[in-house]
Amino acid sequence: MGSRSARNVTVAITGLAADGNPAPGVAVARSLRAARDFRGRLVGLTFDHRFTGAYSSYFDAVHLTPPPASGEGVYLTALQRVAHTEKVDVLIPTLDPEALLCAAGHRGLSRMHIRTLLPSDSSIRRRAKMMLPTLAPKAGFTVPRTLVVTSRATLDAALRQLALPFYLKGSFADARLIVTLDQAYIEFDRLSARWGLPLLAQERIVGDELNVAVLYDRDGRRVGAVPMRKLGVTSQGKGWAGVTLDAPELIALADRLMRALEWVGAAELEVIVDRTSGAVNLVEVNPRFPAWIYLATAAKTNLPWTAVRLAVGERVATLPPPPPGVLFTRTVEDHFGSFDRVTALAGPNGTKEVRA
Amino acid sequence: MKPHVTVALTSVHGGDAPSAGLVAAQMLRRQQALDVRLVVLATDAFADGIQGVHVADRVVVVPPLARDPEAFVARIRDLARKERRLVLVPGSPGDTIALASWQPALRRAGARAILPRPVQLRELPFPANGRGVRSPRYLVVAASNRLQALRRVWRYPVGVRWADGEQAWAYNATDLHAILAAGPAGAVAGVYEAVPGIEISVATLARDAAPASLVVARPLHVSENGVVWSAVTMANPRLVADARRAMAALRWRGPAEARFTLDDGGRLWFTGLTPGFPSWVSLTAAAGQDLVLQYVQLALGARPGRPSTFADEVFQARVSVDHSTTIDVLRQLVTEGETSHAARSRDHLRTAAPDHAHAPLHQ
Repeated sequence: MGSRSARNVTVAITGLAADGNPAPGVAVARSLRAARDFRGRLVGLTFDHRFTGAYSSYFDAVHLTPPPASGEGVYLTALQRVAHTEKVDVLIPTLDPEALLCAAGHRGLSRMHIRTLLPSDSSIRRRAKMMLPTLAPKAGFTVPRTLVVTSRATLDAALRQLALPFYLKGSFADARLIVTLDQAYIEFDRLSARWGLPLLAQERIVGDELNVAVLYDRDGRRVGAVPMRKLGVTSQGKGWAGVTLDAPELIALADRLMRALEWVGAAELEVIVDRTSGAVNLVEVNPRFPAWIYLATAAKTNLPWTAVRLAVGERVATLPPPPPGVLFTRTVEDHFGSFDRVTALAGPNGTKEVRA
Repeated sequence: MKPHVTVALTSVHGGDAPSAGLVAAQMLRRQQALDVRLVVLATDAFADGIQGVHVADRVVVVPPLARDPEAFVARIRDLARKERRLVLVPGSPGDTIALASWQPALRRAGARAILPRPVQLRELPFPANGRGVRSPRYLVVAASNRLQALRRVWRYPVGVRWADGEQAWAYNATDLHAILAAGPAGAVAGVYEAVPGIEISVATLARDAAPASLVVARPLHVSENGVVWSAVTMANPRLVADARRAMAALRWRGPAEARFTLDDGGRLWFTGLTPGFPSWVSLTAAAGQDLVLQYVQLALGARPGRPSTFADEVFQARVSVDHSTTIDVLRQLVTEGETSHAARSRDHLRTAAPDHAHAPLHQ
């Protein structure tokens, strides 16, 4: 596909959950709206009509799509319908399973003339939580001790081998700090019912929680990186406040890892720097922008807009590092409208809600 | 020229449990009737101070009211000396309860507020013992007799509502025991029999016994921690009349959220009252009844108007968004205990949401 201007493109964005544990979709949309040169349309894609981001005024239209668990065929067929109606030029999946589906289905997307900026599906699989203990040390990271939990018997083994408290994690998302034996079994049942098996039991490292959002072009060149220190976390461990950092060493480690993964597009690395040893523990690599990505935009490093430009084939210079000391806090906006908007999205035709 | 007033708000915080204080601050920023200067009273530079920066003209770190009421009142006195007309808006149920207990001192300090009478606080969460209001069977469980409650429950499931608005469901005695044991120390809980139907929330404001205004809504998307993320107004005249009658019978003073169950027969069952505005209070303005603005006007001495209507089926969707500031603002809050307009660039003074976030409104 040749290059064109990103200025007037239609961008479809997934991940519209926007409650206390938001998905990144609204933050990506806000970043595109904040880009001075962007004059295009934004189309929201959601698999649940209750996600409040679907009713925000950042989107020109919103469509209901099948959940990623429906599989690649069903998902791409639904995307084809949306692409036909909305003339989608660029797709930004912001949920882990959707990124994997879209990477695997890149040929189908290409036939629909939808452009993405994604790594291969094998790159995405290689950064899975279970693979990190093998991969991360080669790039210079330490990895917290992690055990795969496939049954109650392996949970028992984890309870014997890891000191409490430790984290029990779903394979895609969700993590709970396990403090007691009873809680371990309750959370095992809850997480496995919600996310399937296997789960991961991971040693808890106490230290500074740092995240870095990165963006690589199709040649694997890093175009931008925004490191952030979490300053406040919710009861679920999600950051509600953070501040940009000057952290060239962390970015260098990220580069080494992402080069090994032959990464293309956006990612977020979550690390904990051990207060005693100074070791940089790699906890997760997410194949998408993080929910806090608007901080990057506020710090004059608009990674979502840069991703759209790269996706359509524009040449983009490497972005300068963001200034340290830019701080975000999570607040809320209320959006109002007629209840008809809900019934339109949830109804039997079920698919379209257009901003007035 | 618009009348000028300084409004001081408590509990302005977002995160995964946005407070009524935050939402009220955003509403006061958007309203056009008054020239409002907003002061956020934070108890900690980081925990809530930094979260008030993007909505407030001034953020002041004050001693926590519940822990150090005399110092809090002294700080209000200082503020009232500098700010000509000062109205105090409680931003959470806990703050409403705490402020209500100190009304005479706050009044003497120069702050105006509309708060419940202290005697009403002792009746929570079923004020006036629910007299004249249809309610399911309920028990008010004091901290000292929590275990006795287990023997008195009629049938499960039961709802448990604490005076500060926290709510949980118990499906058996073990659940109820765990919920009561985990409740706030010394707090009173209401335990009520479940009535099949849909949950209704009523935001109400009264300066005297009868509600000056109320808006009825159905919470739609409620997260695991009990926070309402979307809601829709219900303006069915019979429902509104029933809610108004119930609120008049409860004789509550000040802002409140009353919870009801609407059964299949269209009857309202009162299931408890939480002092202060609910966090979905912005929906009242979108539906044509700005309860926060009315609170400020009533506190300034305006006469309550005739009860007026609100728009039906106005939908509210609450969206988490991040706002930026700089570490220097946090440093200033920590070291100087306050930050204000003059100390910050215009970037930090934008209202909480872009203009397009709030249109179109139904009238």
